[in-house]
Order: sequence, then structure tokens, then C-alpha cells
Amino acid sequence: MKTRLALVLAIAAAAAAAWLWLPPPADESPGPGSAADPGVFTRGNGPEPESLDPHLARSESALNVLRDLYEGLTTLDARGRVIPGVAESWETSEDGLQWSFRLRQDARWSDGERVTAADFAWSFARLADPATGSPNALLLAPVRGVRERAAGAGDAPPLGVTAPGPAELVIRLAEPAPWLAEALAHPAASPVRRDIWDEHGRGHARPGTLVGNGAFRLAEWTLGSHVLLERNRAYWDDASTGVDQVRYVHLPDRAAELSRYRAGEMHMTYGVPVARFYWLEENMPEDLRVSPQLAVYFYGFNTRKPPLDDPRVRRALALAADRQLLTARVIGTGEAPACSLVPPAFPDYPASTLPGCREDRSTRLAEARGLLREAGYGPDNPLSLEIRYNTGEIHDRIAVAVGAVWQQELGVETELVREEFRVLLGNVRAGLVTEVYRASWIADFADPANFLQILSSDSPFNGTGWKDEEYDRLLEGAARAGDGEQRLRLLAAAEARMLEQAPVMPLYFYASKYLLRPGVEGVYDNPLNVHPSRFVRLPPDTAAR
Amino acid sequence: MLAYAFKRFLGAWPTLLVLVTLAFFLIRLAPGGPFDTERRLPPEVEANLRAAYHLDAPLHEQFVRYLANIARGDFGPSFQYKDYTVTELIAAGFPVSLTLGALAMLLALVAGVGAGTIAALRRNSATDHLVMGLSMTGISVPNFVMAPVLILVFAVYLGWLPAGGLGDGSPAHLVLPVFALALPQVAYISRLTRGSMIEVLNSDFIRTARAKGLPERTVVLRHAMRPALLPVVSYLGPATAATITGSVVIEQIFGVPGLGRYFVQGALNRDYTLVMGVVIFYGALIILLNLLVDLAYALLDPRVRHG
Repeated sequence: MKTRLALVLAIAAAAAAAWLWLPPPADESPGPGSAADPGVFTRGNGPEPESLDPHLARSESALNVLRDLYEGLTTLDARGRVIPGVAESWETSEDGLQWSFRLRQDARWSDGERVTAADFAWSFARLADPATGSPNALLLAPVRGVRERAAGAGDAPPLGVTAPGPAELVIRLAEPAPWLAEALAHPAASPVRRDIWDEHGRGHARPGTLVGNGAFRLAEWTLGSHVLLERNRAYWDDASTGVDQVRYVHLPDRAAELSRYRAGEMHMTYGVPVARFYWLEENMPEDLRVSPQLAVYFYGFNTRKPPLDDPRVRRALALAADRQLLTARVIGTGEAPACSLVPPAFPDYPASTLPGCREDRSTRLAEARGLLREAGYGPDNPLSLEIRYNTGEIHDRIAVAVGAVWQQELGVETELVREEFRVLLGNVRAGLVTEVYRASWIADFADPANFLQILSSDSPFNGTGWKDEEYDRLLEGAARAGDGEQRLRLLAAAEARMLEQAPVMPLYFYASKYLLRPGVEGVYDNPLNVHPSRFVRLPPDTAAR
Repeated sequence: MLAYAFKRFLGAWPTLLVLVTLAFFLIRLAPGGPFDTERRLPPEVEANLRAAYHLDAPLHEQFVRYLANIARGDFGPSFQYKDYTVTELIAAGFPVSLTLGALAMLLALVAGVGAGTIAALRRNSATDHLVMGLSMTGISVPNFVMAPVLILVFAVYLGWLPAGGLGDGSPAHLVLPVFALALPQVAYISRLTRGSMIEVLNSDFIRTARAKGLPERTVVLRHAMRPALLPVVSYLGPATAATITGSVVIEQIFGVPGLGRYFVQGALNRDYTLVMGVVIFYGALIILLNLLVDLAYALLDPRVRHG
């Protein structure tokens, strides 16, 4: 009897387990939207987008989707270069203060309505309005009235954006902005439909309600899983769109993403797990793409209080950091050492460097020790510092490496303080306890000014407390200098001034890293790391499973 | 029985209120706020956002406003996911977590009780050691190790099952996450069952039943099983609540759109409303399931019923 009962129970348990274990019958005819369809481009896209409202989104993953859903006056091609979008052409007045755009007659919203200049005028006003709460409210700051409006001034001058005709848009600037065409390609400068916003409010950017003007329209958004886009038949250049659907898979975990890619479920990943980089180089060299990105990793110094209010101390610390070691050994995944804040991606920009940064190790260390001695620190009066950084594999390793060099070579007593991200940001902002902190900047658009403006006195991103009139003056001069050599020279002078004062110490320039299935065409490495889906072509044998 | 249930139901409200109060103030104690991001907002924009979410009001006013809102079933807008309200986020995630969690608990219950009973009946035999050895492994190997191994074997190497996501909702997508979710529970439940079954089998009333000459099957299934399941049942309340509200680890690794990740991400993003929403939801579920457990106790144990 005992045996029989045991047998019955065992069979029940085994049956239950088997029901779950058995492979399901193979589905031979995948339905529309499944990744097996040859017209579906399946790409990893990191963490969940926080919004698909172009004015509210901030994260890279949201911007990726928005580049497919919307099109600005200008847009980016497969290599990240600015090309005409809704505007087919534009002219700039001689003083650079007035830009006149001619819009395409055939630009259409996904519901078939025409895209007009009035749509842009309303959208730019919405972007700058503090009530919108856009993180990019100041993207178009040089446009007349934007700064005042974003500052909530009741007597703000009328916005310098007018629509004399449905296909004519005139933008008047308060100060020249030679990079305006680049900025207009940012998703935050996309048009949003006023009537849809009025009708649906907060729910306007969802499947069923979202009306965009890009190459794709929003078909599905399953939170925590994926966003599915379908070809927008109303798009003016629909004929050249290469895929019928795009599936953005949202997986914050890079190792999980790699598994999905290896199982044949994706054409392209958002990133690669750092820990697997060597393995990928070894085993999947044809899939792995590594290229320089317009982004810089740096440590900021809180210049509001001693000992980091002394530029000599900051220079010494910045000089001692071993950038070669960091990029080649500590991280070793394609990054480049940074002796400046602006990445070396602008051929006409006369690059500046942190003085002495390119010298060999012993020279740098000798100079750093000299500077510290001058500032009054030495074996009898050792400097002690805290490095604050947020939790993360890379951040840990870098803090340890930087701290070790300071400690061993300069005799600085270094303490590492690891904080949760929001705690770190809160502390940087308050400027009370932070001394050295980790930060980074990823370019909004390809221009040196986009990097340098983060350290101007009135920049909300300047966590160092460093305010320098000369620096601000040079940046303003550059903004007024029009589009030419003079502008770049002034920007470079500003950067040189800043590096001398060293409110921050650049450590490395990012590399974008992702996997791309061999045979997929139309995806090109570029410094902005943008890959609009409409240029992608999927040869028949590359369908993801 | 009904009166008992009603009394328990009334008693749940103060617990819930304490929970809401604690959660409300604790999340606000955490340094850093929802609008602290690497790219700081222009000051005026931030001031407007704070006003829009009523964060500029005194804390006690915010609390009263929040209580009034949840009384109406309104958990408020999410700070992080700007296109959705917290209620919508929970409504989208919970069915997925519930499906996965319920399947996993079912599997855990059937396999765990089965294996535990067999082990108890064959105490100290090879079968017993095997079952207990496996369950020890199940308890000690964490999810975040087991899940990638399962994916590697069944999706990457063998190619039998999808590596993640819910796809078109086919059962194949559920297999690996359900299995990974159930494994530690199977292990735990089988150990609980074995222990309590051995204890019950040694008790006087079982000896009496055997002495009466009842068949072994009747002794085990009718007389021993019910009291032996009591510890399992009390474990099931909180375990089910935890499982059907989703596991952040399983969801991240398999890319499953459940509720679990909001617990962690909501807190990291200082998404006050989302954290509050999931905490209240989870708390209410635990209270409800514990109530059900107590009712089940009454059914299983006559002493509770008549006492």
C-alpha cells in the first residue's frame, strides 16, 4: 500500500513537472508582429522609456523610439549627420539671427493630416513652457523668448517662432546659434499634435492615441516588455523605409539581452555586458561593434570649499590620474583616455588639453607633487579626500584605481564612498558633503559648445560650484561669433581656461558597444550612437527567430 | 465562521493604515528626490513639476491629500512613467505576475507536497536523501544563478524554448520563468512537508488508526495528510502574496512585464506614488491571503473550527 501511494504521488508530481517541461508544439506560421517575420527589425533598447512624449522624454531608450516616431525640421541620417527632415530647405540671415524654413508640402501626420509650420510653432512654445515640465526646456534657449518663458517670466517677449504660411516657419534668435540645425534634429524639437494633446492630455502618447510624423507609427507598448512600431504609410518618404515593423525590446539587464541575442531573438542589442567583452571579442567578433561615442566620463570637484577651492590641488589630482591604465586595463572595452572635456570628434576644433596631461607618468606625478606642495600639502599635512560615486561595476573599479594612485603616489588619504544614484545626485546638488564626485555627459547634438555649456555659471548641470567670468565671457563671445573659425577658437579658449582651473577632471571618452547580426544593412557606427530604423535593411536570411 | 471572517476583515484596516503611513514617510526620508537626475531640470521647470505633484505643500497636507485620493481608489500619476497613472501600471503588470505566480505556486505545491510526502514515507532511504539533497540545492542556488543557466541550456544551446519575453503569449514563453520561480518554493515546501509528515506519522492517533487495521493509503491520505499540511498552509499565505506580485529578478532576466520590478525601480527613481501604490497593493494582498490561510486552517483542523 505504501508503495502504491508513493507511486501515485510520484506520478502526479512527474506529470505536473512534465506538463511544464515539455517543449510546446512548434508554431510553423508565426503571426504578424512575431520576431520571425522577415519584415520585423528586432532591437534591444535598454531600460523602459519613461515617456513617448517627445517633450517629456530624456533617456536614450526613449529617444531611440522617438526618432522613429517623429521627425523634426531637421533629422539625422544613418551616420548621425544632420539632413533635412520636415523642412526641405532653410536660409539664415546675414547676422545669423533669423532662420527661415521651407516645409515639405507632402509632410503628413500618421493620421493623414498635413504637418504645418503652425504645428512646430505650438510645439516649440510647449517645449519651453515650464508647465510642460520638459527636461529639455532649454534645448532651443537662443530662440527669442525661450529663456524668459522657461524662467516663468510673466512679461516674456513673444516667442520668436512664427508661421507666416503653412509651409513657412521663421525662427528669430536672441543670440546666434550656428548649431541650431543640429539641435532641431533632437527628438525634443519634434512637433506634437495640439488637438491630440488637448483631447487626451497625459494619455496622448500611447498606442491608439499617439499621432506622429515619423517613418513609423506606434502599434503596441507593453510596459516592461516591448514597443512595436509599424511602417507609417503616410510618411512622406515611406517608399524608402526598409522594414515593415520595428520591435524595441526593453531589457535593462545586459546579460539577459545577450542571451536573447544569442538565442537568435534579436538583430541588434542596446549594449553588451562589460564582463563578457573579452569573450565577445573572442567568440563573436563579426557581431561586435565598438566605436567612439560623443560622451565623456569625468570626476567633478566641489570648488565651493577647501581643499578643492584651490586650483593647484585640483590640477594636481587631475594630473595624477592614470588615464591610460584606466582605459587599457581597468575598463578595457574600447574607451579612449580623456585629457579634455570635448571629445576629439570635431576636425576643425583646435582641441585644448589639460596642461601636462599627455606627459609620461613620472613627469606628471612630479608636477602633481609640486603643485600639492605649493598648496601646502605634504607628508606633515596630508590631504584627505572623499570620492563619491554611484553603484555600478565600472564606477567601482574606476574609483578604486583613481583613489589608489592618489593615495600611493601623492600621499592623499582617499576614502571611497559609494552611494545610490539619487543620493549622489542630491549630494552633488547640495554641494555640502561632496568633495570629488563621479559624473558624465552624453552629447545632445554634435557640437563642442554642447559639452562646454555644462560648466557655465548658470548651467543647472554645473555641480562643481565653479563660476568663472572669463569662461562665461568666452562662451558668450563664441555664441555671438557666427558660424566659423572664430567661434571654434573662442570655444577652444574657453576650454583651455577651464582645464587650467580644473573644476572637473575628464577621465575617458565613451565607446558605443553593441551587437549587430552580420548581414543587417543600414546600421553605421556614429559618434551620436543613433540608428534610425528607417534606413535598416534585413536580408532574408537574417530574420530573428 | 462568517463572523470570524468579518472580524478579521475589520482588523485589517488599521494594519493597512499603519503601512500606508510608514511607507509615505519612509520614502520621503530617503535622500534625493524624484526630480534629481543627472541632467538637472531648469529651476523653473522643476518648481512647476513640484507644484503639479503637490510636493511644494507641507508634508502633512500631502499626506491627507494622498489618503483622500487612495480612499477614492486613485493612486495618482507616476513620477517616472509620465504617460501612465500608478493604477494603470499596476493593472498592466498584475495579470502577468498573477499568471506566472499562480502557475509557479501550483507547481510548487504539487511537486513539493508530493516529494516531501514520499521522502517522509521512505525516511532515511536513498529516495529521501535524493529529494532532500535536491531541495537543499533548490534553496541554496539563488534565482539569479538558476535563471541564466536555464536560459543558456534550454534557449541558447538546445533552442527548445524562447529566451525571454512573453512574445505572443504562447505557453512556451511561460515555461522557463514559471520553473525558475517555482524551484525555490518546491524545495522549501518539500522540506516543510517532510518534517511535519514525519512528526504526524509518529503521533498517537496514527498509531491508533494503524492498530484499527486501516489500509496504509487511508492512514496517510485521510488521517496524516490534513494535519501534516498545516505548516505548509501557513507558509502559503505570504509565499503566494510574494510570488504573485512578481519577482524583480525573474522579470529582469526573462524580460517579463510583471509588477515585481516596480518595487525596486520605483524606489530607485524616488517614484513616490508608484512605491506607495505597490506597497499598498502588496500589503492588501498579504492581509487577504493570510485571512484565507486562517480560514483554510479552520477547514483542515477541527480544533480551530470547534475551538
